[in-house]
Amino acid sequence: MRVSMALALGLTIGAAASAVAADPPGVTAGKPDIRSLSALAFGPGGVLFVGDSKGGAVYAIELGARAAGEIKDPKEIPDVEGKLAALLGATAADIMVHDLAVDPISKQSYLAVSRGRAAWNGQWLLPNDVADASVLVRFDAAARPEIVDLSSVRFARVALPNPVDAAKKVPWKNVSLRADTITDMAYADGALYIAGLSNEEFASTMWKVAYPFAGAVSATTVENYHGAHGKYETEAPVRTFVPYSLKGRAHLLAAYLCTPLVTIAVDDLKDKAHVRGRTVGEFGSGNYPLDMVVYKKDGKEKVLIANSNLPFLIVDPRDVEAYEGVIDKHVETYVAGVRYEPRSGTGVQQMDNLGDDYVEVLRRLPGGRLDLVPISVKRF
Amino acid sequence: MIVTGLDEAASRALRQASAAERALSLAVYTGDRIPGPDQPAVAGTHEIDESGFRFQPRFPFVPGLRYTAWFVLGAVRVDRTFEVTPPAVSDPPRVLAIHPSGDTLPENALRLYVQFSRPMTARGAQQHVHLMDDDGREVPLAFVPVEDGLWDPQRTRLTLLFHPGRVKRGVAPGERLGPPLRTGGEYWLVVDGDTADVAGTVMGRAHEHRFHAVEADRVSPRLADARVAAPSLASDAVVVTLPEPLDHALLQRWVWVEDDGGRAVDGRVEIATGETRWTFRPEQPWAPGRYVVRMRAALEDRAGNRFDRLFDRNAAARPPADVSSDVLSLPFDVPAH
Repeated sequence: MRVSMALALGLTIGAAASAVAADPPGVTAGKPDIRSLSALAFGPGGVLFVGDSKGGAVYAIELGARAAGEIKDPKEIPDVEGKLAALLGATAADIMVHDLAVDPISKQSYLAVSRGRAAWNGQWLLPNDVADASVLVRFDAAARPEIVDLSSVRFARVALPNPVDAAKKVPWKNVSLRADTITDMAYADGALYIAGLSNEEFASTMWKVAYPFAGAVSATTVENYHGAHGKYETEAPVRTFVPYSLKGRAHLLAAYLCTPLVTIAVDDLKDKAHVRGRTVGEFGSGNYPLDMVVYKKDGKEKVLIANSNLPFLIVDPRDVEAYEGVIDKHVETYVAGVRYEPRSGTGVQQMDNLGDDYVEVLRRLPGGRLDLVPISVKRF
Repeated sequence: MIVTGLDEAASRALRQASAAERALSLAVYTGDRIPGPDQPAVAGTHEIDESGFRFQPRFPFVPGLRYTAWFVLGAVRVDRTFEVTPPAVSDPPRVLAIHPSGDTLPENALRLYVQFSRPMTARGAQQHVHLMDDDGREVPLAFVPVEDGLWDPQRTRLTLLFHPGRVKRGVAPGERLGPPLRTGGEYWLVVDGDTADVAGTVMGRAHEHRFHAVEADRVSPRLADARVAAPSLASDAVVVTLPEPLDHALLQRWVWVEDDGGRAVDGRVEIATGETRWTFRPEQPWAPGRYVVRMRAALEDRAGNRFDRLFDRNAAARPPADVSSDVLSLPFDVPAH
């Protein structure tokens, strides 16, 4: 047998659409038509929520039966961009990670990834402002990346009512607001909360939908007083949030650009209503809060915030409960309200819980390498 | 990537193989050699048919990057290192114009505009633009270095500022280095062929703009030297012949037409003949009556001299006598047709 190898360019292989099997209402089998993997979050039973800002929809994707992963002395994964570049046939400079979510069952890290970032420019541009993530990648137990095949999965989809128009731009960074249709998602007590922007006069919106998807998606516009800027903000989206019970009442703890921390009572999230969140903290200007998680150390829950320009910030929810006031006056010094504790940890671009005892972070090292690093909550 | 020349047994084995087994049989890696087990193979799909065993990468191979393909089946092992050439781009970005567009430039010119055909990548923009003298040497420190360049919001127009410290008189850099342009000199502005648009597509060919440096312009443009030619037909354009070449960007914003009631008339502006002609064609045909072309007195010539003051001036100087307000007027009449 004489074997030779040649490069065949311009070849396309059509993906056959798979037949739709009988499924419970709302769940279909096949290939979800996701236009951008803008935000990732895991939900009950290990379902993966994918927020699609460009498509204005959220998908709940069943990843199938998988072995429960154990966390014993988890290791860092060095040079994530280099590994993704090898997988996607490019150089590390061409790779961008848009979001990270850790599968609560397998404990594997899932990343939303794009290839090609020639448009990258400017300190205020987030990955979704620059490109649309089109590849879902997970790291296997041997720290090798593999593409999660979404061509034939069981999934459910909900469309978001009135997502922000792609023609609208953020004036100060000259990018389409559409990239911020979905900025963050979290599941709690039978509902999925989706933060982002709609076309309403007050654009900042918190959508809520029952999961498993049922009933209408409710849309509540939200505003907050931003002390560092000395005004009410209605257009800036929530950047990251966590559901949290304060004084026995379900709340969302939400953080915004230039870092006000705001509480929103879940009971107030009525469809087509407009609510004013209570600003309880101002943590510093010139900063994107990027991700927020709740962790437990020595039996006490704390909220950890990863930031673009500040170190880790730790907030004690009991301080939030004890804070009687509300920030509604201009804050000259940029910092006010509930106290926080800083912890070293700059360059953190993505963060999620990794079991109870760790957080997994995607972190840019001073030398430029991007690593996935498990950090023990004992360190906080 | 395609493997051909497989015998019947090999083809059958590959047809019966699982996707994972096929991926092990034909793998493509980034780099010059087959790497260790830590490096994943390039993601893609495998297919076997009569023509051979194919691998289609999930994303196109990157031109200029080296890849190594490895085929293993039984005792057969073949590897090959390759790279792909960039596909011919049918419509690469290009430079539409350089302004000022004339073939002369005063020694004390303030700025140049490079107008591209589509949004460009801003990163390191100015590294791709060079001012060359007649001997083919790059003029050092010609422009103010601006990280990522000075762009319009659409990122299609790059502004290059001649170093004002070298243009203005009596300032240290100019005293030491002299002006970037010297009267009598021939110059080329060269925009490199590797200048890329936001998608990373390069121009491919460099763009060159040649001009001749003439004596410094230290005179304000004068309204008295501007001429307005009224339209003779209702659908005609009104044409303003400017006193001298004026700044292309400002001409688009700071000159307009108002009707008798002071309402701005909608229409299209064209700027031609080395920025000495401003032409305005109305959306709707002219109604007979009196109109006026308004120009801001802050309009600048190529050396930054405005109608109301010089760029490089005695601080006590007064505006010229014919400039009495911030907005200058050139009236014209459209006769009844």
